[in-house]
Amino acid sequence: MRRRTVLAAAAAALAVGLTGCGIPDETQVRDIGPGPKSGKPTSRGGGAGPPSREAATTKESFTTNFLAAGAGEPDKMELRIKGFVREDAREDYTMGREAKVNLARLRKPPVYTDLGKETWKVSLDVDHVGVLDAEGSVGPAELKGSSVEFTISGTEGDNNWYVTDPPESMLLSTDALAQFYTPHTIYFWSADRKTLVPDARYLPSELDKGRQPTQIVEWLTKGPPDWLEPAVSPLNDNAKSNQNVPYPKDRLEVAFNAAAAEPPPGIDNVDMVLQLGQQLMWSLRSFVQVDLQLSLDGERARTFTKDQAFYSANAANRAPEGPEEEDAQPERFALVGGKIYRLKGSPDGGTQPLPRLLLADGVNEGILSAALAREATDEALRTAAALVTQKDGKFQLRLVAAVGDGTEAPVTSGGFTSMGRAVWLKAPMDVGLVVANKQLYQFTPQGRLDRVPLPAGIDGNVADVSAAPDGRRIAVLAKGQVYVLGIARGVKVEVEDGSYRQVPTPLKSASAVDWSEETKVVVAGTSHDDKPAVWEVSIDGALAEQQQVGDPGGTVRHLVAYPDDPVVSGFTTKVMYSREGAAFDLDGVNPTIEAGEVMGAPDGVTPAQVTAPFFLLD
Amino acid sequence: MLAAALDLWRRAARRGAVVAGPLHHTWRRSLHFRVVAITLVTSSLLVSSFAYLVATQSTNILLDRTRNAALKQLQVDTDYAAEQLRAFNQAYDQQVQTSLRNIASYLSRGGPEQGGAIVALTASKQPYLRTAQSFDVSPLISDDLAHQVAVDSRVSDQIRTHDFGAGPTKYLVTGSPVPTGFGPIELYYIVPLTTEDQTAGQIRTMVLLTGAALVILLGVLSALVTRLVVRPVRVAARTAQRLSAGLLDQRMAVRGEDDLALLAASFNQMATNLQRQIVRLEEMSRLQRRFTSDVSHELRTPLTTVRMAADLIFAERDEFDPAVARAAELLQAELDRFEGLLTDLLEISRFDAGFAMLDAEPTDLVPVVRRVVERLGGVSARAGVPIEVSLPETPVIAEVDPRRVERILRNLVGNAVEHGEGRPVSVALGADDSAVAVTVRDRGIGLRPGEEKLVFNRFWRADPSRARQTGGTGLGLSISLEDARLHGGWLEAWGAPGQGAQFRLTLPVRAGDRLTSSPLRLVPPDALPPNAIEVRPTTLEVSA
Repeated sequence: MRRRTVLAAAAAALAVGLTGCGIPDETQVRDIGPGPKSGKPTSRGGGAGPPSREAATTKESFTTNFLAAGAGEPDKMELRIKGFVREDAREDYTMGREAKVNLARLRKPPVYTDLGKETWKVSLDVDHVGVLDAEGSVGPAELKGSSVEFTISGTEGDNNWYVTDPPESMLLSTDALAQFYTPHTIYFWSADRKTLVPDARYLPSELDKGRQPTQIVEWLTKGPPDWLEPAVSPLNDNAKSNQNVPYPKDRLEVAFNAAAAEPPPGIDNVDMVLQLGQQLMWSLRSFVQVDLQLSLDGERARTFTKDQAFYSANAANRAPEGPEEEDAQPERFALVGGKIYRLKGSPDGGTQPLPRLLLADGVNEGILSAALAREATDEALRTAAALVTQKDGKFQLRLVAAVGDGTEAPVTSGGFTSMGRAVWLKAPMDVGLVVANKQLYQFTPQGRLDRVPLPAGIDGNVADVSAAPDGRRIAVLAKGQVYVLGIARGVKVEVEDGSYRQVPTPLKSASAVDWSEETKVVVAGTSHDDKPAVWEVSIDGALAEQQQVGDPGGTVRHLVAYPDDPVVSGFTTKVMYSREGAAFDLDGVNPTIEAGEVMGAPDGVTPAQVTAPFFLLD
Repeated sequence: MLAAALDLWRRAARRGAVVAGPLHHTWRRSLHFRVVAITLVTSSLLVSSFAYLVATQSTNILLDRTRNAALKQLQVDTDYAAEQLRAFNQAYDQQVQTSLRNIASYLSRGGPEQGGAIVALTASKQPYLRTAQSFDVSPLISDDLAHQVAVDSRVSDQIRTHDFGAGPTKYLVTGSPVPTGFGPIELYYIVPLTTEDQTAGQIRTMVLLTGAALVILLGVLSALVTRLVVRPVRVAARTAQRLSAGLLDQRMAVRGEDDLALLAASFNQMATNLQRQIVRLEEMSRLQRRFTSDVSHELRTPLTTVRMAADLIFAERDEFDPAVARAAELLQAELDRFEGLLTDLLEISRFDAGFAMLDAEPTDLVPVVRRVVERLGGVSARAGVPIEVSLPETPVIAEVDPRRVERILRNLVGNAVEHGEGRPVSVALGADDSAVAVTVRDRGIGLRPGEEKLVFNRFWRADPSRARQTGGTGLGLSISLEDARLHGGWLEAWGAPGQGAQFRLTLPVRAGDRLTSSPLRLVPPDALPPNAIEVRPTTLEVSA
């Protein structure tokens, strides 16, 4: 019996031994530890979405809310607007396949016509500004006319308001855009990949802050709007970012597939990863807390900070951000009797001598208008002046350039019956534009003049031209309307047919334009009430701000602005203009430029003699 | 089930017993086999425990490494997924599903075919969300694991086996909850354990093979070593057997100087000493016997002459003085005694010399007993001792030498009559299939304890001071014992003080058969129990 027990035990031990070692087919669930904690709470949205239908108790607030209903994340836009419409009218009221909404600026408060039975007809007098698409970009307006009508129904003081007969298209008011969206500039590399070109977008405030960087990266992937495309080099069509960009986080991590670093045709000797990193840095500038890490498939992850390379990637940027930059003043000049003088608003009160290149013989005389620009190149500081003069009834262009301390001899060219203000294109500053004989001409510092063909409808009617600080976009005034064009910089400046869009302004007719910010222009002209007005308008027309009211003077023919630095916050737009009999500097308590502010001017000068003020653009 | 197992076990045990029978025999017989078997069993146990330990430990280490790596990766992946999903606060957002797919795709890094892993993101609490996975891994995620991860919010792992078409494969499934803006979801990181399983299998095979080889090696080694020790011992045993069988010149071979050589040398020395002693003793005994025989023979010739003279004198005694006549009578009687003594001595020396031969023939013992009693009738009548004879009515046939049996019986009955002290002497004959027996009982003074053996010694007297009444030579019982021994029978004595004595002769029915029992009891039925008189009856077994 004992032997049997021993044998049985041995058999059992052998069985256990043979099966015991080795990986088991199935195990019990092994508890390792608690799951990760959710950590710090998320931002839970940058701001609230637009009010709901039930939030309104009066027809006025209901109308306002209805015109704001679309503001928010694009995929919820249509549902939300439809939520304001009574059910029987919802059926045909649709947005179409794409999440687009028409942006309208109200010229006047809505007019309500009582139709009885607690029903009102709402009449709006609007400017159709454009179309806000899912990419947060405002494209050219699709709607014509200025009148919009729809019917609402409800009891005053109650929250049962409904739109019973909706307007033809879904609308979003510009006020709602300003209230429920955050303007955000994204950047694309220029076609020659020398500088970044900004593009204005609108981020819905409703979108969680944590998702905004992801949204921006998605916009970058989808590319620029049509009109800007000839001027920029978008990401490769196959470029894709499959990862969200976690935020808030010290290090912003962006990942792309390998196609994102593929250089476009005709471009080589360019560090595509570096450029993509700078593009992301600029586009996600407000989200970068410490640095940004760019991971590309099959590429070592690279980290980007706000270093010198970062600041130099954007030509519109003048210097690293800092408090001294905020107080820095541009150098201001004005013409008195055909000669250039410094204005008192310049640094050091304008006591410094004029730039050296203006001091040569025969340069600083007989000038009608002047453009002075400066750019740091690899070798030295480069300064150039384009001076419009008149001789024997013919307008000429006098060009002077200086590299460092060496000044080149002035060159004069052209002989036109009319000529407007000249501008220098930056990055690189090797060409300028000028309107002559109502046509656009480009000139080189060496005095070569070439006509720049413009799209039909604009060409031949050009009144004013202005260049963006990046040198890849220009604003053109034609037939009282402002257009922005994306230009390609090669040996020559070229404008493609489709690469322009009109800037919808609150003005009836514009008379002068200049670039005042990366994505904004200052426009002077006549309002709908026939009064002169100066507006700062975003180039998509969605944002507009009136700069000066109550000047009863004549038409502004000369308007200059000192573009804001993109990274310096707390700025005030610096604008100067002149009209018949007066010149103005909007930076200050007293806008009029007095005779005493012209430093070194001859005695007995009246303010009326001060003309064509300008900034040294650097 | 249990019954079947029990039945199987029983059958196996039976088969085992069949095999084990001869094994058991060998086990008892062979030290060699025993040592090898013990070595094999012990080393098997040791090696298998060691192998089990090694295999288990290495598998555990393998598994632990994989588990730790998976856990580390899972933590990284969980952090990544949590970060990616942190900003979403509504699960029904279209981008959540897209993000889940993107995360799963990113984390799987091309899947196991391309060196990545299997990653699945499930949202058990969000009915809107579908599981993001490169293929359907739901069979790998057990309900227990899902519950532990999703409901208890614990990081857990489990090993599962599933066949996705390429044969059953083991998978390590590690799951962790992922905190997101819209509530927790679950991330499962699944690693196929193919490599680990193969490695574990290789380790196991290797350990098993090594272990088996080790056991076999140990067995062979122990067999060799034991052989080294056992062979000389066997040789010694064989030599000792031969020695004991009488081959006194057998010796062991002495090789080397080790312990075994010492044993062989000592053994040989012992054998030599023994042989010398035995030869010496044999010589002495032979000399003694020769002396006795020679003396007897030498005495016989003068005795014959003396006898003839004495016979002459005895025949003429009437013519002598009564005193001389008396002396002649005495002479005649003493010569008779002397002659008897000489005859007995010659007989004894014949036995000693080994010349005694058994002349066995089938004989009916009843007339033999009767004849002996009749011949002693005169002596018993003179002594006043009646002889009671108890004989069976049928003949008792046995292969015996009647002359020797008659001599034994005559001796026994004569002794009984001599020591009967006037009380009756009983003679009984008994028989069974294999043996015949005769008991002779007297009721004289009996024997003291220990005297049962001494009575058969030559010239032994119970009381040396007691004068010899009858003409016994002191060799009768010794000769009787030799006669019984020659038959392969027993001659035993029983006696107790005051109760007399009983002698039993037991002989086999067929000559040469071995005796096992006697048909008659040695101790008479009327004897008092031994404890009552504090004398233990003893028996003397005489074997051929």
